[in-house]
Amino acid sequence: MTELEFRLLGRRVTGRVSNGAAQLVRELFQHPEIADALESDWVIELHQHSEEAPLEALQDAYRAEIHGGFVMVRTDGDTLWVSAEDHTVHVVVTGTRARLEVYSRELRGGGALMVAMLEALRASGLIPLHAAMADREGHATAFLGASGRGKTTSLITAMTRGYTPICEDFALLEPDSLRVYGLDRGLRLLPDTLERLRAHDPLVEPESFVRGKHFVPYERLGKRLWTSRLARLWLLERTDTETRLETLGASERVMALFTASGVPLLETGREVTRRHFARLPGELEMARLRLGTTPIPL
Amino acid sequence: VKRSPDIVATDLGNEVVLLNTRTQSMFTLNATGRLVWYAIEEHDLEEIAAQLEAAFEVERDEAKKDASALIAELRTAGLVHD
Repeated sequence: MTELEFRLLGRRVTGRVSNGAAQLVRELFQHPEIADALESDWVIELHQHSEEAPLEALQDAYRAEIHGGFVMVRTDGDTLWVSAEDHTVHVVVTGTRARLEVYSRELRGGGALMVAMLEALRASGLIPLHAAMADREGHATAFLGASGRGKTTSLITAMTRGYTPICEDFALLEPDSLRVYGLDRGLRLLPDTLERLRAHDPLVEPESFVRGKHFVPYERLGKRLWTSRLARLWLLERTDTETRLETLGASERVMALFTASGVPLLETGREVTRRHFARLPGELEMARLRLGTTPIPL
Repeated sequence: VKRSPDIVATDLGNEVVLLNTRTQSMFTLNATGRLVWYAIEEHDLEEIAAQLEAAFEVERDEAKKDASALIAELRTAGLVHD
């Protein structure tokens, strides 16, 4: 068992969980650089159970697609059960406190725990964004889209044009200030994408090679920004013709935000979403970027 | 008719985006659909048709037919239930 005690954007994350669960939570959410970047009264507490989750976790549960797989979900107001193959998490939100009960013997994957943590953070007023982001002169550009649409490729292109990476996969958005905070620790690059980066910076050396991708920590790139102000979002799609930007209608903009942020599962998180998703499309420059045969208009 | 509790509605003023959190599918309703969506729990078909007639200058019978068709579509999509 491992004690967790850290802050993420002012939110206190505390509790005692299995070593596997703690490692997973720390990997994505414990970053001293942004620990106190915001003020918040929210507490996210985690508790570990070594037994199987009660049967009620799966009663009337439905399948929900998540980044890289699926989980089973059961929701009721501010109560949530999320189950993956080897663990289940029960989340209850009360006031400014989210309590996460983790049920697992040995945790290998972490899909349900990640969903639970992100929903707790969403309830606390932050919006998770599955996107690659880069900054130039204090303005962040986010590349959104399903896997394989070119998020990482676009990020690498941006970096070769003088942009600084913020995240390759995940960030949290504080919707009032429009500030985004990167959560991942480096770039996961397919071999051909690594070669594209090396054409620009021959000294880039990956740290490891996992599941077909090279991992390059940001410190090996010599630059990374933890935060920036979100200015534009580009929804990526592929085309066989020339690369171009297309206007997104108001409803398409909201749908693009949902595509990147995922489905809000807790009522408090839904309220956060309702409050901000009607406003955000008007405050951000949003477009569909069809990635084709000509350079990105960065 | 009740709106499903699984729906997150984002109101854009002249249209509304509906996210069905169970199926992860999204729908857009235009201005007339939006009126029906927000009226559906409190008003019957006749009242909704009257509101559509007043707001969009359509014939009452036409409005009633359109609203009825839309409610059937919303029901099929799991966005509302009886």
